[in-house]
Amino acid sequence: MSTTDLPEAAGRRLAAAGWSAALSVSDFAACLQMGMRPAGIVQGFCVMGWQRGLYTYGGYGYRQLDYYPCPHGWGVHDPNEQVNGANWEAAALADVWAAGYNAAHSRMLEEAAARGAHGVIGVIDATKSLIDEHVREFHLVGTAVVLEGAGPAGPPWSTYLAGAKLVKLFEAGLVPVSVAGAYCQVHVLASCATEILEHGRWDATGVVRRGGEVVQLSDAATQARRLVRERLRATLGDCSLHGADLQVAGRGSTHTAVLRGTKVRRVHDVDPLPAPVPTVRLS
Amino acid sequence: MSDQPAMSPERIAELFGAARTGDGDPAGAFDAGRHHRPSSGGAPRSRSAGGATSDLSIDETLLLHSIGWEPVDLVVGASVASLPAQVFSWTTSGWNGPDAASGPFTSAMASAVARMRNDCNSAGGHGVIGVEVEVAVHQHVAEVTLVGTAVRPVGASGGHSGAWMSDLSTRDFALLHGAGWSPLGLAFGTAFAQVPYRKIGQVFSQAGQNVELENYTNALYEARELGMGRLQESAQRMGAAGVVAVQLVDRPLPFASHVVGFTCWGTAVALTAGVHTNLRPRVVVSMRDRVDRFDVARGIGGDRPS
Repeated sequence: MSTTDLPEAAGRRLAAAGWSAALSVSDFAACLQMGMRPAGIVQGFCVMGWQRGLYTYGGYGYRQLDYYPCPHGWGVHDPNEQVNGANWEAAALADVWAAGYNAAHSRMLEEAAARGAHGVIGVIDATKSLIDEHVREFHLVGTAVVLEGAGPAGPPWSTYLAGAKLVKLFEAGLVPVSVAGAYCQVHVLASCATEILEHGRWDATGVVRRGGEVVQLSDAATQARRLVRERLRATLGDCSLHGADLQVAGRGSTHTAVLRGTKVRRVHDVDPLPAPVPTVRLS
Repeated sequence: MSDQPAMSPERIAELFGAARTGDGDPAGAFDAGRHHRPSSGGAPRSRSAGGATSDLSIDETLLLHSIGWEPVDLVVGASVASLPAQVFSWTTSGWNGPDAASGPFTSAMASAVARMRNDCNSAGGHGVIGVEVEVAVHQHVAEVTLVGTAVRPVGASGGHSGAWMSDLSTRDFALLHGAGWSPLGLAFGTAFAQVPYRKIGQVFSQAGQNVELENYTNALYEARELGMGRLQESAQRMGAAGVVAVQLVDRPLPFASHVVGFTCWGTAVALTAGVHTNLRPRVVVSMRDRVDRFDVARGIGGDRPS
């Protein structure tokens, strides 16, 4: 990993003798207890344009997931007729998200490597909108650590975990590989049947009857969550995702899902802990 | 007390010597060539595509392992049901009434459970724990969203079609398991009751008085009793002895102040070990002081997806 393209300001801070740690005191104590020496706060950020593209479905940047034909047969002769519906994934946004996240991550590791660190712990994802909704800053901050007594550092690993949780991860025979994340946004271009059911309209033909499942909306809510999981799984290789955090926003026509977690690899098997003893605490 | 770190250099070498890091990007980029290609269905489900995803903490993973179970995957199911026409309208009194909404709402829950069960089966899970249940009732539709962790006995292979669902936490599942009980599924009950008109005499006699509004009390009774009755019936249909960790949700309907909506759910359980085992908890006194912690993420201002 090259450190030559680090911004001058970052290089100056990292070259200084002192160090800083974005850890709570208890996490800092646990870090020392594990034989890890904090080498400094490291961060990576990347500001990206965040355009959904043209709101004409089928335009660049969208991928069709499922198709919901008009049950009346009105759209049979013209597949682009508005009465037919489809669920679309804003795949270009997923690409931008992945590109921004990967750039922020590799820049953070670059800073860690410049300090000779073996890994980055307690990573915080502070990704947010800047200025307006069309500009998004991908921002990862963590604490670089040097493993005392270990040989020269290779490519640094990273994890959202720190403190006691990290100690327990090691005890469980797992080591962190990297933080991981994925993004998925699903848009609903409603079919006439979905429109009627969602907004309580009256179908004069009697074909669409209210009271049943709105399949297109059910599929969209399920797809957003499953796709984000599949996308993240595609990056795992032979690793597993630990401590996954799924956040979903929106309902109805747009569902946005973000999944984050730490990619971990098992390095040795462990015996199960003894069966837990229930306790009642007196305070 | 030793001042040596808990992890010796040998231990560190053991942990990290075999580990490879830096293999690939942490977030998957999308293949641009696929943007316009329609897919035949929803998300692909291939176990060979990568490792497991688990939303359990390390404590929960270890606790689950200690009772012989392991997490398999994060599984989801969601469903939206259309409600009958005019179900929350005043004009429905004497027609089908607002309780006609409870049928589609219950079927939305059943459909979400079926989608989650399919997800669990294809992941190779035997059941789902920690199901987060989100329900919402709108004027024309009712929504149910379920997210949970598929689990299976350590080393077991393949799912089976009768995978169970439970909203119990890992800790509660471990305690239930230790006592000889098993979760069978999510029991669900909902009911909607219309607050009846007051007679003109009641309106005048109650004006400005702090007296019981019997029409509301009675509507609440009707909705709650009916909803809880349906919860118990759904558990009995599963062959359960009862329902634990029941959550009661009493939300006003902002678009229909004359309707009382009531929803409840919980985990249906049955005694599968033949005999109940008393857990006999040990009484402990904690010697630990309260530790002040602060949340760095909030200080920096990370946001939620938009």
